[in-house]
Amino acid sequence: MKKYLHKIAAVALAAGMLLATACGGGSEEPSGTAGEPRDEFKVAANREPVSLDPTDVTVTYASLIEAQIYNKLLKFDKELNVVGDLAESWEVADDGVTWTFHLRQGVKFHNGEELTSKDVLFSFLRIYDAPAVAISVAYIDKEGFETPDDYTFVLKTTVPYAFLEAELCSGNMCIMNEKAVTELGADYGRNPVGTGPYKFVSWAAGDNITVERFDDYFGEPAITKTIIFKMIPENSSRTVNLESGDVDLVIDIQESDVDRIADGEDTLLVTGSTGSVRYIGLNCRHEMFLDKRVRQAMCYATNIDEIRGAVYPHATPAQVTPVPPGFVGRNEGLAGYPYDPEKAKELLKEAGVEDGFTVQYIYLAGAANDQTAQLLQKQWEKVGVTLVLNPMESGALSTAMNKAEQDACCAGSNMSSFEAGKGLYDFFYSGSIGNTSNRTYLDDPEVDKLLEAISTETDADKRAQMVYDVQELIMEDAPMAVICHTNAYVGMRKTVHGFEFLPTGLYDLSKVWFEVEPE
Amino acid sequence: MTQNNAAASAPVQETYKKRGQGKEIWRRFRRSKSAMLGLFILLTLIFMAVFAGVLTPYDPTEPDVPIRLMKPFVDSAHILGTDELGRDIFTRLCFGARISLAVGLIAVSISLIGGITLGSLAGYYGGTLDNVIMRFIDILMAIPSILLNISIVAAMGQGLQNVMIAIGISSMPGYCRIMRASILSLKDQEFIEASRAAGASDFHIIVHHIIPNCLAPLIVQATLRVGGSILACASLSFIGVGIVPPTPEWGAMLSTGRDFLRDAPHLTTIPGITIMLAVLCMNFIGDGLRDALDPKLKN
Repeated sequence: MKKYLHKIAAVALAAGMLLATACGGGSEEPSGTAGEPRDEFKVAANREPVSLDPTDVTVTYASLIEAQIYNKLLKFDKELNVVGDLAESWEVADDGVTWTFHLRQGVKFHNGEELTSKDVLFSFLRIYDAPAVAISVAYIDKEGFETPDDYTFVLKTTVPYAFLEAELCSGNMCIMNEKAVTELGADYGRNPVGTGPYKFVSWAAGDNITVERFDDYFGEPAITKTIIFKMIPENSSRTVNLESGDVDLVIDIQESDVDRIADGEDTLLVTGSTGSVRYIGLNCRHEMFLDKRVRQAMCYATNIDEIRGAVYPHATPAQVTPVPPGFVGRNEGLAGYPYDPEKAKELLKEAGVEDGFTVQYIYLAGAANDQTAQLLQKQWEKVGVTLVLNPMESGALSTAMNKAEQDACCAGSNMSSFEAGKGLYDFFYSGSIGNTSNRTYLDDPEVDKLLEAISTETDADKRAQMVYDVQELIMEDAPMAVICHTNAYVGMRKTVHGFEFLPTGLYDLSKVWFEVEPE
Repeated sequence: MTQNNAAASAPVQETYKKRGQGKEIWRRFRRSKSAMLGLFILLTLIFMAVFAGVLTPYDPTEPDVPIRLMKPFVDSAHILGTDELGRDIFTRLCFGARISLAVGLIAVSISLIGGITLGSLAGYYGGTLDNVIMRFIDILMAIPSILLNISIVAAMGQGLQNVMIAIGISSMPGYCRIMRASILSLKDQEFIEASRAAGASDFHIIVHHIIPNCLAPLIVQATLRVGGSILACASLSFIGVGIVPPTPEWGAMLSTGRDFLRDAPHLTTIPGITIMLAVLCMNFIGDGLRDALDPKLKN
């Protein structure tokens, strides 16, 4: 199941267009022998992070940069096993709620301070006051922390909690330096201080963020001295920049450029699953979708295969459940709602809304979402439902979604803890509204009960069974039509060495280096 | 519109005279090759817009995914190819022509009416009113029009109607200034004084005597601005603040085509060329009209 790292086989494209040939890869030849390592490389970022304070709203690129600057107590390795990061070892007491972490000694922050359990405590306490990430500490007792000595940190969960280790690996749980945060105050987000292999150097607004090797790093020192994260918002520009060699690494190649990068003379593509799911979410608390039959009808009216084929041809097809392939407890046997407009009409009639109704549909403006929206509009039109399209920019969209203002939406989320139970909890637990993964606002007491039970079930086998069962309950409620599981497409110059794909997307760039390319 | 009313209620003799003028203008307009080319393109676009439903058997918004991204001039059923959802591009261009021409016409009408009204008031009455109106117009002119358009659409919400209003407002200052300048040069002439002496009201004087005499520069400006409005609408759609999908607006087509630029360049080039032709034809016509209407070039 864990074939996360594989290079896409080259698929010859049908006759290339004139322009394609004209703009192709440039004049550089791939070098035959492993050349000299360069002392800097450039990574393209799709948008500028708001801040590099891990407790602020996280976007993909902020997390990637933060992963170079900070460490957490624990982390996932490439097989998704939990391993120690700043914690050398850890154990849970017999009561099931007391966790003791033994920290590495002699770890230095970029400002020269030494890491102690006080910094860990400080970092945890900070999360409680940050609404964007507070969900990460929902099961951790704020009063239960102890720091018996400089290198021991104790926390208590409110109940025996199954997902604590996975939670501590999340990008929200970066360990910060108390002194730096306190001294810099509001400026901290633009002057982050961590313990990672790279230290923050400069931030040119709208242009780039630069980090440099931290020589006192406790682990293996980084190979490349400088990494420049360049802001390139336009999807196709990032591809062109990679082909021309202006950047060396792009972590989000758009779907329509995947073949081009995989076939490129100077480029190669690494792809893998990141536990992400893309879906059409129905607002279960909205008047017209209160009736389960209406929601089921809309799922029957949605031709998932048509959307996936046109918009996400490279993604992994979904099998009804939002749980991504490879996750323990994934239920692949659900009947779901195969495309059937007649059945949809019947259900709508049963529910007494056969005359149709209007649905406000919001989504992040962009090519893929626009296509999905237009296809969906035509599909739902066939059963008499009018879809009003409302493309929005990302800030307005998050605000609207957090307030549950829409009737339906197109959204994508990651089950970033790589635990189906935790993912489903974030997606469908009635109490997790306002959390960035919950876009359907499902409110089913039976589902809630089971999800709570899963969170506190520490026996992995029993938990897997419960996860398996809850998916049937959830999909019976039809809160969403799952389109597909999108993959990460990382494009890079062929002169790359040491890149390792991680399902978390938090790639370790300290081991990456590029050969000097001939002019 | 006011000038139509003016023409309709004008005495018989004047109507006769105007027809003679029209013939003269047409004779001079015909002499310009570029103007005639512009007129030809415009008529083609109008034909496409009017008969969009008859010219092609396809629905401009109905996806046909299996044939997506078909190249142009390959299949006679889809002469200009298909877009990212398999919709016929020629069909979308035809239906898009309806939108673009409507935007051009309505946006210009809005700015024409607004500009004429404000310009007349400012020019005819002068004084404080003139000052207030013209300073307001100065402020409008000081803001880059694309920025003004974006702010207006953002404030009023997306949609075709609001785009037209936004473009109408942002191109108002030009008409207003032309109108005011013409009035300043007219209002002290004898025939205006005669009319006033005969007891005509201000409204009568402006509508029946001043506006008909200012029409020439306004018509030229309006024609030129139709092209500008089409372009402004396309720009707004391109940056995603104008028209909501799946409306087949040219600028929106151009914008969606961006992501397929390298594999399917016809998605951007075809609407791009169409926009260019539309703007160019209005500019040709505008230039031709300017020469035709210029009394100094009468013979």
